[in-house]
Amino acid sequence: MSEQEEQQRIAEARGPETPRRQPFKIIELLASMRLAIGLLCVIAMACIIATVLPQGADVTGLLQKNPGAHHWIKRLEAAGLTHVFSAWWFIGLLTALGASLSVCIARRLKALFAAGARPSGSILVFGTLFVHVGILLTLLGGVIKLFWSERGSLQLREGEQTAAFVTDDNRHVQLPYTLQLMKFEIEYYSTAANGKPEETVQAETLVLQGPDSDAGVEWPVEIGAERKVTPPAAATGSHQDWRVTVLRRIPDFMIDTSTHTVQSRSDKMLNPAILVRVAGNGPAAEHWLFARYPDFDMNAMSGQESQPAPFKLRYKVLVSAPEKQHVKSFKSALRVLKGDAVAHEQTIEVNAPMSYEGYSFYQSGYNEDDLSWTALLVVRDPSVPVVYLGFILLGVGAFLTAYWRAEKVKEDSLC
Amino acid sequence: MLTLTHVFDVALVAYLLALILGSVNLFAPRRLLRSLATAGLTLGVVALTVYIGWRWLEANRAPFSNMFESLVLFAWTLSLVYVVLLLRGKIPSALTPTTALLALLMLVYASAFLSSEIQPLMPALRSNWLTFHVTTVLIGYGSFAVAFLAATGYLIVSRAASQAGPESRELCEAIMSKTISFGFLFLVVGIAMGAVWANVAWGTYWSWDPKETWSLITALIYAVFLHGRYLRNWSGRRMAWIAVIGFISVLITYVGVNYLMKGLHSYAS
Repeated sequence: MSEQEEQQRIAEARGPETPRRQPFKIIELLASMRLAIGLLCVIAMACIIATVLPQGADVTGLLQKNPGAHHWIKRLEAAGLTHVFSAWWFIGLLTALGASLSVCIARRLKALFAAGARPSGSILVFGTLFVHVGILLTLLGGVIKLFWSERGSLQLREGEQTAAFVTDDNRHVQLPYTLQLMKFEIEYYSTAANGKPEETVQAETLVLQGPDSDAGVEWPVEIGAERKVTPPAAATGSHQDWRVTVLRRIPDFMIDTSTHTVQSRSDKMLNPAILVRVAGNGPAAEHWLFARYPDFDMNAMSGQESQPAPFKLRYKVLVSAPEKQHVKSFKSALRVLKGDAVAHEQTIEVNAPMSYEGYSFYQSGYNEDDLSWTALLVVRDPSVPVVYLGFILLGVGAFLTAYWRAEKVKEDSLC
Repeated sequence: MLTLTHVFDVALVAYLLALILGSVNLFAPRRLLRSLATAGLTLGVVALTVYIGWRWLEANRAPFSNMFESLVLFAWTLSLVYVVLLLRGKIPSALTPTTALLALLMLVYASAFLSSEIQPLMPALRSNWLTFHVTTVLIGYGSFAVAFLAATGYLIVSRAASQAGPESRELCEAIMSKTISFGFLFLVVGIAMGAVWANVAWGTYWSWDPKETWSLITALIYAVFLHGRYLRNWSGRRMAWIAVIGFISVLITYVGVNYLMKGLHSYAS
């Protein structure tokens, strides 16, 4: 049986055409295929307009960039073309499509019952019925979402807890429980594993500069290696040689106040410093040179006299930019508390939200400079089961219809 | 030693052969030429199957995450749908050169202008839904591409002083109807899968993002085609033009949106 024959059968099931009253005329109009095709075309046109014309927030940006566009944007706004998807006329079109689908479904069901339990061409009948019911449920889901869903966000630090969130339209909504962030973790693809990407040291040099110049000679930092310096005679009044030796290197300089000794706080190059000995004719002097604080003179701070040398020394550390690491995932370990009791625990990440008592929590962001902080999206959307059921029916229906047509084409040997 | 690039090159050469032999066959029909063109196209499909499988193993994930990988998949689905129909005798071999040309254009563009480097997946794409969503949608696009080729064939044949006759037109109509029915199934299932994934990743199944909106426009155009064809008995040039418009919409959804409009699918460019 072809689809046209199927339509014929539906028409026969409706009985002979008789003059209709007004409500019936409306139903006839909604059942018309011409209207259905027209609606599909007009909705498609509306969608095209919405992707071509500036919408919502884009309009504000456009006006800031081009104030001259104000006049025609006002006209578009008045016609509801700058917020198409929430415009009354677009919702009206979707409502008309829903009404048309409802009438179509009702007529098919009526024909189905009229034909008995197993009508001929039942695959096609059920296929198209499922597709139409699936679309109707999806539209219904859209209505439920519009009126009854809530969407907002919240931010938590590790250990912090909250029992409320702020919606996108700035309302405070109370959760039926308390949510606590236990831990936030970020994972990178690189083998450097977890944690923030670090700078890497490319070169460490000891720079010898003239008294009035920033240019100078650079030596690699080598513990124990003695460098001979012969300043120009004009600077010293003699041909005296000086000797510079690096004695110690500390990646993260600190002074232990209890023992008054220099130590490294960590292995990271957070406050790199070297101890150099400078020897001329007189007694040798030792100086700490700091890469991050080149003008800081610890000897002067401690009241020790530095032997005046006809040159300046600098400690230079060249670091490479942090290697670009690709984020693999970021996760928040959440705990749901009811009173003092732990009701639920779950670690969420992108593509793996937590749903608990009507609310779903999505991992939405983090702060690169403060990895103890997480941003969550909070959603309560009762339309989801309705829409998912719609999707299932739509998929099954489209499969049955395509299968029937493939079989039909095979029977007819059109190819 | 055989590498991924070698396999890609085999596919390019195979499609080029199919294009040349299929074109010659159009003007000087020979059974041998037709068979060799079909063999070339089949070899291209096999080479791309190996390429996609190998890349999948090497990347340790489905290779559908950027424009390069997506174009390779599109070329594969297009030629796969066509070869399956061809080997089952459902489609004329006259469309072999245009199918090969379309697939070749996609592969040449991908290799010439896009990076083929395997890159790590961003967190939003680390989901099995990526595989299901992209594969189903691109099988739909592949079917619509075959329908488009049949439609342009129909428009050319119906314009020409018809030595091809009504059989060719009827054949083209049947190919359009069948491939669009098949493609529509995959498109709506692909959109639904994308919506479920969006709900899992972004907390909403529909955001009127440009890519979503254009996929809906595409689905609406093909819905008009199916209703017109099966319930209003549309045929001929009107049907062919809708198939052409539908495929233009596919191209805007697939490529245009990535480059012209901002949205949640921006990573696809």
